[in-house]
Amino acid sequence: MLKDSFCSSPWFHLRINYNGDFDECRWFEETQWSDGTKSNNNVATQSIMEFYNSERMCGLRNSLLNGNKPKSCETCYYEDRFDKLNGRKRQLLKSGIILNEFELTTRASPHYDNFVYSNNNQGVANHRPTDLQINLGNTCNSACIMCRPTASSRLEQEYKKLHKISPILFDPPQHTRSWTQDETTLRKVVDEITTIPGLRYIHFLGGETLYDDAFYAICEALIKSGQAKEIIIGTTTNGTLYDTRIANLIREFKEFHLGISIETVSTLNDYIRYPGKIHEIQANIDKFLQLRTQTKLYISLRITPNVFTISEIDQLFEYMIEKNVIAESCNILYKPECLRIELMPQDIRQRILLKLDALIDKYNITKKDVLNIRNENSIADVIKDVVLDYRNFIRDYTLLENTEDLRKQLVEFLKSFEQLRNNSILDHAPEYTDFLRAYGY
Amino acid sequence: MPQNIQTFSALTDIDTKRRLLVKLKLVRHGSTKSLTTLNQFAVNVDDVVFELDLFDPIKLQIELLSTESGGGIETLLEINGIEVLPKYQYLSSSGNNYLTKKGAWQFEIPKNFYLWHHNVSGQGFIA
Repeated sequence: MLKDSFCSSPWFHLRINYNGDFDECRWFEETQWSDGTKSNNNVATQSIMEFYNSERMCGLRNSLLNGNKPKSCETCYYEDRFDKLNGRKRQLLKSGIILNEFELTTRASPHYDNFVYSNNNQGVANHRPTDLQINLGNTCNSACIMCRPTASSRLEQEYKKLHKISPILFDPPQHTRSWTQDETTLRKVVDEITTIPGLRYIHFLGGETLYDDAFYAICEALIKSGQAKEIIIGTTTNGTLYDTRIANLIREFKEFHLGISIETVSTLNDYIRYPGKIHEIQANIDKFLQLRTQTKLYISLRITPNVFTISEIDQLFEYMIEKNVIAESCNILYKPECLRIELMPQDIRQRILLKLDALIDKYNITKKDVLNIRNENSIADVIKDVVLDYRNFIRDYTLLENTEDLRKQLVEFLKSFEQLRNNSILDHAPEYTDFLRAYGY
Repeated sequence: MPQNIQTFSALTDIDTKRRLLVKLKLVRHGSTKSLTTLNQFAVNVDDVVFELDLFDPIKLQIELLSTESGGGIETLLEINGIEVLPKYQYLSSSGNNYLTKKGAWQFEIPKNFYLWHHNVSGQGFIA
């Protein structure tokens, strides 16, 4: 049925990747668009509007209009099976379409006439892109252990040494040259963005966005062009930075959606999101929360729980409730595989379940199924949904086939990092001592 | 409403006539007299269902002619299973769905119910 496959995203959205390649959607894996051949669609040689009505975009629209499920969208269709609030549902909502009233809300959608136009014109769109994702590059002051060199310049440096320590676990990093390092291309993109009328939302990803000059260059151009008051900016930060330049920038936009990456409220966060310091990050979160009271700043915590941080997730939820700030989405970490939640020992799994059930009882938590999670009036309900999502996942997951191998790999993975960083996981997660020792730590 | 549409072309064939099921209920507290109209149709019973077109604006008007002390009319409105009143009573002319004073009261959905509901229920921006 059309309601099980249709997505309105290509009628208003596209993405620019780290290397400048275009993609049709922010939820595509960066390598998912093709079978490994190099993209012919890059910001260096093509404008945003040219790509917007390129063969690829028109093909995707046609496919969706014909009721097909494009392979590149398979992540969303997979998540549909678990009724997860995924990219497809979020993008449909931006067209005013909800799945439980799909036919009527599609007819009533402000984008309906645009769908009709594309249906009659081989997928060509007459609506301009209003929602852009811009991946700036890998410039970053953090080297989180679950990250990858293409998203962190600091980790890229560490991977050169890690590859020598353990060539099997760590691939040699290829130097990532982001498209924003080319001044001519950056200027070209800025010039085009500042002339696209009706832009509503731009989401930036790094690296560390607030550490990247290209982020400020684009935002300041939008302020100068007078578009900022009509545009919502979204981005994610590691929480290590806060200064008046950022605060002043936030004030200039219609809304500013800031996701702050954090895994725990203990020093375990320092180990995982190295070399950030949790007390500094919490101090910055407080500054952003203070700024929230004076501006249209909307804050969420971006969490990516792994085999260790999951053990303290109840404390993080208590922190969210105390601060009245949501955790965005429920992304289950699956790479690097040796950090997956499913590798935790059974006794710790049971303890986490008890702690989460106690939290659910304490706050009388029931499922709310909030669709627009960035609604300031829905914060409490969004937190409830996230708590239940994680409790259900921990309760229901099945052991991975290669669990034993991955646990051994985990120990090697940690030891390699620790050799460089001169630290120890046991100083931050002592309850894992017996577990890690059993696998050779 | 058909739920097995396979392609967008098939969806364009859907008739949009009589797609809004509007349930209006007036709950009277004490003895009251009133005149009620929904989109200029006179409403003569206190529990009624209308079928409107998908894009029809909706205008509900009640004139409370008389009421006894402590009495009034509570107005409940539901469209396609979605609660409208009392949930969005603050958007009515008095800011309240409970009428206790003589005079005119009005609640209006100026256009496209689903788009209106998207906005008032805080579903975020339309791209």
